[in-house]
Amino acid sequence: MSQVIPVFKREFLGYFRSPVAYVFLVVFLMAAVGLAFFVGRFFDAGQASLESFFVFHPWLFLFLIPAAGMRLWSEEKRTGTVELLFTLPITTLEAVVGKYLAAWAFLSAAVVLTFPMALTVGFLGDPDWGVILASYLGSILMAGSYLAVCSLTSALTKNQVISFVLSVIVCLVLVFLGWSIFSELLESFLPLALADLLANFSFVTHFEPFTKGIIDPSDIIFFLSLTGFALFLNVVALER
Amino acid sequence: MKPSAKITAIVLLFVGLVLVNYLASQLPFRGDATAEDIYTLSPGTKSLLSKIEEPVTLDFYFSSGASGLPISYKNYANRVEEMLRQYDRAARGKLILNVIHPEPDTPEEEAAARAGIQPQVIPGTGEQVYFGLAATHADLQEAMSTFNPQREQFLEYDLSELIQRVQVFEKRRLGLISSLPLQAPEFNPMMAQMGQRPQPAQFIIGEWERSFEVLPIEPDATELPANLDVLVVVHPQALMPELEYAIDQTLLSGTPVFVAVDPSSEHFKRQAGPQQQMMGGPPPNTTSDLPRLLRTWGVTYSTESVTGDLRYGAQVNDGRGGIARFPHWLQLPAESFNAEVMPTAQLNSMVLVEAGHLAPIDDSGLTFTPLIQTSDQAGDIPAMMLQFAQPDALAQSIKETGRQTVAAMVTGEFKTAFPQGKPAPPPAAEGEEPAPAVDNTPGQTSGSGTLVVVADADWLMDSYSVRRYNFLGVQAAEPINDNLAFASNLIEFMAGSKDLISIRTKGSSQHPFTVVRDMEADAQKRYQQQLEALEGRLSDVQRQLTELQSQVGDGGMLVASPEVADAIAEFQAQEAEMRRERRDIRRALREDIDALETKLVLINLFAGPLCIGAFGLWFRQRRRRA
Repeated sequence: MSQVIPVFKREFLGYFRSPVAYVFLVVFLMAAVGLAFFVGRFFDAGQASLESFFVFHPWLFLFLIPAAGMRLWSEEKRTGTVELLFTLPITTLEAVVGKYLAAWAFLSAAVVLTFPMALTVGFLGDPDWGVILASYLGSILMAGSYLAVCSLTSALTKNQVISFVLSVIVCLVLVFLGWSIFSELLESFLPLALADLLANFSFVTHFEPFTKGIIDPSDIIFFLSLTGFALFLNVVALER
Repeated sequence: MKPSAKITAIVLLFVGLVLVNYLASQLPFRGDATAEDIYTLSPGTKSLLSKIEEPVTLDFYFSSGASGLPISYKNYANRVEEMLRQYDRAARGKLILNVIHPEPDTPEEEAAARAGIQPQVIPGTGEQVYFGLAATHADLQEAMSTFNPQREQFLEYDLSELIQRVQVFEKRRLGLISSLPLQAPEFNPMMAQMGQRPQPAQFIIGEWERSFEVLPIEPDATELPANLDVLVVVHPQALMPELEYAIDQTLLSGTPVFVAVDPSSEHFKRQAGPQQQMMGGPPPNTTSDLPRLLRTWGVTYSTESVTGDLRYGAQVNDGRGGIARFPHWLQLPAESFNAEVMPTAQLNSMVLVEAGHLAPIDDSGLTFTPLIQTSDQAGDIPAMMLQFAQPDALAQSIKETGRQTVAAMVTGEFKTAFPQGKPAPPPAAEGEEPAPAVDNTPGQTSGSGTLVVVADADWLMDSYSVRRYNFLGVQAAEPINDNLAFASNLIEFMAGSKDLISIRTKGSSQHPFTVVRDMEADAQKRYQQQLEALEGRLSDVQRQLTELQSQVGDGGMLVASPEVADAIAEFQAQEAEMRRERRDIRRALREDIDALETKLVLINLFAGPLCIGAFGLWFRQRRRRA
């Protein structure tokens, strides 16, 4: 795995060379803040907590992370640089992990850049900083899982738009699994144990505890294991 | 890798993924990042568990096999089960935990029903679900009939309380004297035939009944039941002197006494209603007091004035779609509560409605400990004013006198308020049998005791403490503040079970915007004089206008001279102008806060993008140089 770091560096700095990344960051930050203030009525709630801010993250990621991740592999496949990449002395796994970590670091930076919201609640009242930090941790882990799914769908196709649509659909299912109506639907044609098991694979179910200040190892393991599984499929897809 | 090997690897990895997540969900620990360790067992619970002598069996019933269960419900069941496992570990073998998933028509389902677990019906599927806990100790069994996700913040308290309850073979006795209808009124079976349902008791009674046998005492009683563990006197009105004497002697004999008096009971005001007063009925007696007892016990309290607070005044729906700040309704934040004393140490918010205030009498020799205090922007409002004045006028009438105490604990060596012994009953009217001779033996003249006085009684009523709602067909209530917690804490504390107190209010912590609250109070102060002056001018103009208008009408004929008509028009214009000014001032009260909101929205919207822009420029220049 010695080549992961050079790939990571090259890819990560690459983001800041492209104006698209800046546009992405600005859209992400404005949408996150706008949703909290205008839809979540953050100020009217009068509570020094970021609950009305983090509650939108699963929905915000649903569209923005596929937008950020759609070009990860499909662009390389379309332009043919993927073949070039594999002529270099690196393994597919190293390339996948390196690229993924760079994109995750970029997304984490986007999440961290919402820090003025945390400063705002600190200014307005006396928030529970532990809960806020846990929420940021949960949000970054969840972003990682979304991104792994997007990286996989991107490796499946040359077309960025198809990659985007595919990842939105898969992520949407992973969000909806935690929704009662959806789980009832599953129960109607699957054995209950299996339906329960699937319902447990929801981003929202595993993100919510973080926003309350609960750091449950099972939630961390969920996000990390899902990420690992998606990245493994990613490698398999590239080695076809 | 061959395609078949790939597929095998993918399948194996997927099975591994599911397995890892299943095993992870069984892990017995989790981190708690909250400042108050909301999700960690509190020392109170640990202390309580360490005191268990004989093992307590906990049967946790959850119908996990039912279809159509809301996800949130399943998650909550996991949370409860996990917390029970925490209890199990902390009790070091003194708890036996059984997790039971009852299926329909099985012995487990029968056992759940027998234990008192109430089945809930899932809307849609109509399936019955059991989600409750039965605790058994020796031959005593108590149950929590249903778990309610809305009570998550009280989960630990509820569990500990159940474990505590099952170990107490005899309930402690709570004597209750109350003019407020805290208990369920008697229900006439005739009313049931007419389709009416019995009125439930106020929620606080249920809370007290969990740990106590509540013994109601009528205000016209002359004696108290024997062997009380705690005596509660709520809104005492027209008590018999003999009963006052009995209360006095109870305190002196060491039984703790809790008194809630009120200079203005919102409950009775609402009962009377404006209609009754318009029909010439006498104004209702909304005050309560125990003047003789309180004075002797070193507490001053007056029914003449109500405490107003410019800072902690509650925001109340004014019924016209707006929000008004009521300085006479106290929305008390965490800093109002005495953090040094057990019953108030963990409270976060309470609502008191038209409360009075208390102060110590200097030479009483007793220890007066404030439990709940207002902000330093508080002052008196004459109780009479509450009947007529609008919230703004009430706020203007407050002359700030600094922090006021609205609840206090008094301890020490109390003296009797009846040095002459038991008072004689009133002489019998003609035709009545004379009262039996009074036992003249002098009572106890002094004794050490614990007294808690709260200068408001309404806060105990459901209207100001809980929101009732229907949860899966079961009537449930969700606390809207810590009023109930305080009432239960206090009685638990006074009756001696201190372990439960440290648990009760965990997790209900509110983090209000203190900056906004201070700005509101400042603005109120700043514009108070302007508003006062304007209100004065406005009422002058309105008076003159009314006078002029009354001269105009004469038997229905208009006889106004042009001069008078001009004057009326002039005054009307002035009135309209002043009303506009008043609106402007009221708007100005919110102006700073609205401006702050706009500023914060802009900073938050643009701070991040500006940082990114600056970084982008720096990065570009660095690349160029390199």
